[in-house]
Amino acid sequence: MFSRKTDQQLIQNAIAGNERAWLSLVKRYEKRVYNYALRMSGNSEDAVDIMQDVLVSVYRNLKNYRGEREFPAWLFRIASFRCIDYFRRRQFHMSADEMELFDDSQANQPELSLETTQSNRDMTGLMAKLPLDQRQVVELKFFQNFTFEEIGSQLGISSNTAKTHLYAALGKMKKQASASPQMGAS
Amino acid sequence: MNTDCTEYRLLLPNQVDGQLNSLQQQRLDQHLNQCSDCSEHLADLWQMQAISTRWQDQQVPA
Repeated sequence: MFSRKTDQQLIQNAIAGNERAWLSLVKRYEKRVYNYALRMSGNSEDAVDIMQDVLVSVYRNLKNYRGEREFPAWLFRIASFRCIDYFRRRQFHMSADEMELFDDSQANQPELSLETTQSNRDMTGLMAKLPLDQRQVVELKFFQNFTFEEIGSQLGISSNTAKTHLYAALGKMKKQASASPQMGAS
Repeated sequence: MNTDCTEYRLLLPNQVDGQLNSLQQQRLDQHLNQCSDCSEHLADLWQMQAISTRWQDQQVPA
């Protein structure tokens, strides 16, 4: 009977040079990292670049993973750093026009309903207008479900500062949503 | 926003996460009964959580 290997087992095997273990780890997390990057960047091209950047960085740092925190928390700490670095390098400023790219990426996924596509677009549209630090808190809180202590640790800020960022973000998103009729309804 | 609100605003996200103890919950409930601003912030947090669940994960492009 086959049993699913734990993250820790895959990590140990990957560190020992087992390529299949590394690929299994990638398979387990790539979709989650890609969707994180998609919400952070707003388009699939940048999301793929960020995802690859994150995975390369995780691979290079894997031997430093001591298991003192859950692997996803460790991974998303790296993702947060890579994301900041990516936007800094690109001097990334997402405009409403650039959101069109996101529309194109979703158009090739027929399994998504129009309603869902609209919701995904709404969310990236709302997040796009936020400063990066606020966008990260919204992402880590509502999509990755980390605690504020974990978010603070990942971003190098206190948990209370993370909450302050969250309120600032919600205020801006609310203002935006009220200007767009379909976003406000839950 | 008064001094009380500053304290309670930090508790609101914990309420959404279900991380308040019974004493904190009781104090927060009392405050919310009298403070429409904090009530609105709590509603915003719940609404954001609801909206975030609408996201449907995209496949990684091949």
